[in-house]
Amino acid sequence: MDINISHFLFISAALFAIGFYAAIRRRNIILVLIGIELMVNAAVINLVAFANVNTKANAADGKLMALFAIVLSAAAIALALAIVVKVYQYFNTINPDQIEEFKN
Amino acid sequence: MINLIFYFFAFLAIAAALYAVSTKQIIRSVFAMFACFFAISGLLVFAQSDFIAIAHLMIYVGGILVVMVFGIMLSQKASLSNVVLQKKSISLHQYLALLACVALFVILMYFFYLYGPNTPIHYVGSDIEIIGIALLTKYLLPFELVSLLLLAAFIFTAMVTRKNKNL
Repeated sequence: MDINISHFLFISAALFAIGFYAAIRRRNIILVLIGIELMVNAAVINLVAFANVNTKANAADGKLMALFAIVLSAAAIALALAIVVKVYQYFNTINPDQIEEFKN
Repeated sequence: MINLIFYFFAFLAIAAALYAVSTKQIIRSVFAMFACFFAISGLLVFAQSDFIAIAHLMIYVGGILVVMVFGIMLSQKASLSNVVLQKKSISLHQYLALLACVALFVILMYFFYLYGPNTPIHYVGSDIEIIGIALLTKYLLPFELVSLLLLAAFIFTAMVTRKNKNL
């Protein structure tokens, strides 16, 4: 039942690299947001995995940090999607390469 | 048997994430993220934190991805099955991005191999009790601040997307 922590490190490194790829490839704003969410999730996996390593320390620290990270990323994604909808109404595209100017 | 379930969730998370960033149709990538987030919350159960796993499942699968589907529907005029990403982008950019991604993964794994702990995760009991106690004692101020920030973010979101307001 005891899973070694290096497995979690491997999974989170893979997810972080995949999210980084999606974020810098930027074919579409939604895909960039998905990449950022993947990176946040990799960090959450690491925080939760490390929270259980040292049983003498307060195990709530890492878990609460993970919880706050989830909440902050939820707020960020809601704001970003609202801005995406507005940008689409203004520019008629959400491809970052085709959005040239922000001031009319 | 338990380890087999863990490896299944790990494989599902990485494979769904790879499919999500490599598929041409954006609606498929969002639905692949459903599988990926589900597998990640399964992994969080294996990291001995049940409450975080349930919160993750509710927030991501139940909230963020539904909002993302709405965002796609509001920002694409064509029907959802025809939304295809433009293919005309420079392939050099793609190869550089792939190279940077692989290099980042190798560097991360190298440092984890050098300095990361190699201990199994111990079961210290259900985490609901310690999270509840910590939220109301040591982390009371950040808890209230993050709830205020969430409220402010949602009010701002509703204001930004109002119809009779220019950008």
